Amino acid sequence: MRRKKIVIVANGSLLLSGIVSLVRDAPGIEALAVRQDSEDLYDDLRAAAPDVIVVDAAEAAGAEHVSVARLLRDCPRARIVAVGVDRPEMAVYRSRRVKRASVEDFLATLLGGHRPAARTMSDGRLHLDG
Amino acid sequence: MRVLLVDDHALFRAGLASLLKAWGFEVVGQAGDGSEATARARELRPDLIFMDIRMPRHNGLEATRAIKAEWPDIKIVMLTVSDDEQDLFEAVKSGAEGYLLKNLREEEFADLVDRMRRGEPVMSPGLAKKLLGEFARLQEGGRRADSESGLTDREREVLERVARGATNREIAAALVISENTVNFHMGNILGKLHLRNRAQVVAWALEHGLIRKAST
Repeated sequence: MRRKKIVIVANGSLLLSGIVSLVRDAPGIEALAVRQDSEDLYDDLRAAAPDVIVVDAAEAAGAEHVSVARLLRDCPRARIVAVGVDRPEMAVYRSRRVKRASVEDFLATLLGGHRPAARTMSDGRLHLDG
Repeated sequence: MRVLLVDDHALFRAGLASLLKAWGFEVVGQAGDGSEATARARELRPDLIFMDIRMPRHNGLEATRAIKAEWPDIKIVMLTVSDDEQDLFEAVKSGAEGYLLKNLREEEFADLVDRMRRGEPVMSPGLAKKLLGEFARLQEGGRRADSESGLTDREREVLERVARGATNREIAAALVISENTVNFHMGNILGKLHLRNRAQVVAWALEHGLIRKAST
């Protein structure tokens, strides 16, 4: 069974250093660390094609160096896991691409799965059936 | 060195355990809250505890006081996100041998851990200054209170007991004087300090560092 490739975006913090140490020899995991301040961070991550990317939530929440949105775009197959010292929860982000999204696909996403039949009226407004 | 880790952040705790083991420490146990910390300390008698502060079921400060009361030789270093001054002061008063913030870099933490192994107290950069500042403020408050109040020694004794919530009867018993005498001293205290009632006496004592506000 293929080992899961985990990349930890290391920023030298105690939390992420601990995570690197924790997963380094874990069974079923191939763990890599990349430096957050690397100029080639996103290129390195794209090249690594990881299954999971672990980032510091404090940095992920709007900081310059790590953009979750860019990670989701550049590594669409990866799950992004954001962790932080200030709370015990973790946030998990996933990208899901829908090619050639129809209006119904778009509305279904907005409405959380329900896929209504939609029509565009002559005045350009959307009408939802049902 | 045998270490117990206490933190409700399970992932942080596990990562820290892994790092400490790699650095040659023996991590003998872990706990997720203050109550469990006290129980594990009793069971394991570690040399050192890294203790978080904000945890359910008795926070780290309460656990520190409880553990230090029974086993004063166990070293406790707070490891927390809180840079709140009151937490720092309470930790020091509770007997903690160090106070570190979780936003430390790995190299900084490794250096501080080395110092701990040599028996030095440790503190995250910037916190020692806060502690010294508070000590200086308390000293100044005490000196100012002495010089400005004009209270006699006996009046100061009565004031400190009132500020701690004692009744006149309790003060009389403690100082071996009559309640009438306590009333007399209270009248002088209120007059000299230009205060109107006991509540204002408490506020004055807090402001001048004669008593500390209880932590919640």
